[in-house]
Amino acid sequence: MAEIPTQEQIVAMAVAAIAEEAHTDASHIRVIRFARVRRSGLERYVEEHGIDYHKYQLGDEAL
Amino acid sequence: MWDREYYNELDHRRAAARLGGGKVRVERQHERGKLTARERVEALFDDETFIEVDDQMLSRCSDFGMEQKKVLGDGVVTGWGKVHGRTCFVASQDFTVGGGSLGEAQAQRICRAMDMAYDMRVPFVSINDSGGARIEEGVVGLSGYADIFFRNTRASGVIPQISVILGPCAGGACYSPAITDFVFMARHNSQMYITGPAVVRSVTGEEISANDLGGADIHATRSGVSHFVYEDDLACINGVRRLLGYLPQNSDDASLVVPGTEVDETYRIPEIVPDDQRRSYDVREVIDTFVDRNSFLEVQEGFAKNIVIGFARLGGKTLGIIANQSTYMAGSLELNASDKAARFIRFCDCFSIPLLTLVDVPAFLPGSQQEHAGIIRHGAKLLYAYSEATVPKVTLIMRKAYGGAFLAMCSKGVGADIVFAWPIVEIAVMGAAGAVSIIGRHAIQTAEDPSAKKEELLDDYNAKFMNPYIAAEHGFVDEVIRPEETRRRVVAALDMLRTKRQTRSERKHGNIPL
Repeated sequence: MAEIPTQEQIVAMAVAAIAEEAHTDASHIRVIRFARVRRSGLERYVEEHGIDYHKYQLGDEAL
Repeated sequence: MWDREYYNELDHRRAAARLGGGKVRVERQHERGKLTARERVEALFDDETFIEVDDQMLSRCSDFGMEQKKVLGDGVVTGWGKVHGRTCFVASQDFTVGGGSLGEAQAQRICRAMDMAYDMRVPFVSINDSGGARIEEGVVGLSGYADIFFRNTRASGVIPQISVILGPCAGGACYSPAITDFVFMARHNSQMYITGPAVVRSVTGEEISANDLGGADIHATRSGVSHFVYEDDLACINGVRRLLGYLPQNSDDASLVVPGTEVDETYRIPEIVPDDQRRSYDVREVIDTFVDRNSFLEVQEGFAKNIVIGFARLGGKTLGIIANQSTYMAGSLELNASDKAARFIRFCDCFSIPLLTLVDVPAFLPGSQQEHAGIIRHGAKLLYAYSEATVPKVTLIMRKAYGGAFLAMCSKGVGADIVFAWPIVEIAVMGAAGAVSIIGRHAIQTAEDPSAKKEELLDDYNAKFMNPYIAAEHGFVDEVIRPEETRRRVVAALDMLRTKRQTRSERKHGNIPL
């Protein structure tokens, strides 16, 4: 099973992603506040029940 | 600065409304394999687009201990959101609050959402999971159903209305879904019946389970009440999202154009459709040779299988298809097939969805069972629906088209704009054997060699009538085409018909034979 990342690792990943998006170095980004986005009821249900779920999007049938 | 207390009160109330019937009841709902009302709404809409309205409404009833049982929102979640970027309204009953029972406040919330959907001319989706009318509220709660039926009827043909049954739906509650355009059911969690097993037992003595009485499979195969059946809540709601992708927002709107993979495998048709009229084939294979890849969405797949109906896309544009299915009852028309096709044609006509009719029909099914059950009345619905429809109507006669059934399957007479036929087609009053036995009876009986005479007459009849050219000579067929020309001709015809405008004489409404 994959290891659950720590809060520090999550912040580091977020900073790296933002830096890449902004074409800058991660050292130029300062984290002022960090909060984990709460999962929705449906996300929790799907995860807790191990359901393979993909919300239908237009054109999916053409895949 | 505003006092923090304002926000605390709001946060507290919002949280209370979102709790529904509470953690224990939510867990029980999950144990049954069911989602909560809010989870269903989340699954229906594009992410983060749902806006709830009236979440602070409360029941005004205080009889029979209701004072202690009141829950903010009164057992339903209503509001709007986006499906494929287009606005849509929803009412999702919350079984965790009083079993989703319908009281006065709940009915008000549902009606408010319906009114808004109607006024904005956008689809309305009703997710039903309710034990029925809230007994404690008496006739005040019960009468809410009538308000819903009225709104369903007013919106019929104006906006698409979809019912999703994800739990019990009993008694009067059944009639709202029945008025709406499409009914979805989940195989293991849905039941619809006017009277449940206990009442059936006490009144008639019949022992029957809830699922055998009104489960998803029964309504999908026997009663025809249900249009789509899926295994569970999530699959069902994904099915709704898929269906909405084919529909316009309202009767004045155009359906979405959804670019897909265009397909033209019509060269395969001679391998799929045998020229021997007695051999069957799956007409869905024919459809798949020319509609956009995997775009055919069959409606009422398990009911009246002798006719296939559904939506597909051609060049990304929605199309309604009606096709005789020769693998069931040889594709003949009977009571249920007539009803099924007629209602679908009327839906497409309401919402400006062009019709393509694929014909391979031997007859209306003969026999006393059909006659006594009203094949005249039911068959008339099909003729009426085609005659009434003013949308583009393209007909492709694939193999045989006999008698009254030929006329009923969107012939020129009932308003087809363009009729194509393949060269193997036989168009006649009836099949050769039946015709010769009637018109050649005397000649056969008095012949020196009756069987030789019969063969001679059969050959003569076949040569004269069992082809598409007599009909083409009289203008009943516009063009006899090669199978590999099918897609191009249908696309060209629909393109030409895009600007079609037909008006019928002004009247209150027609009187379809119900």
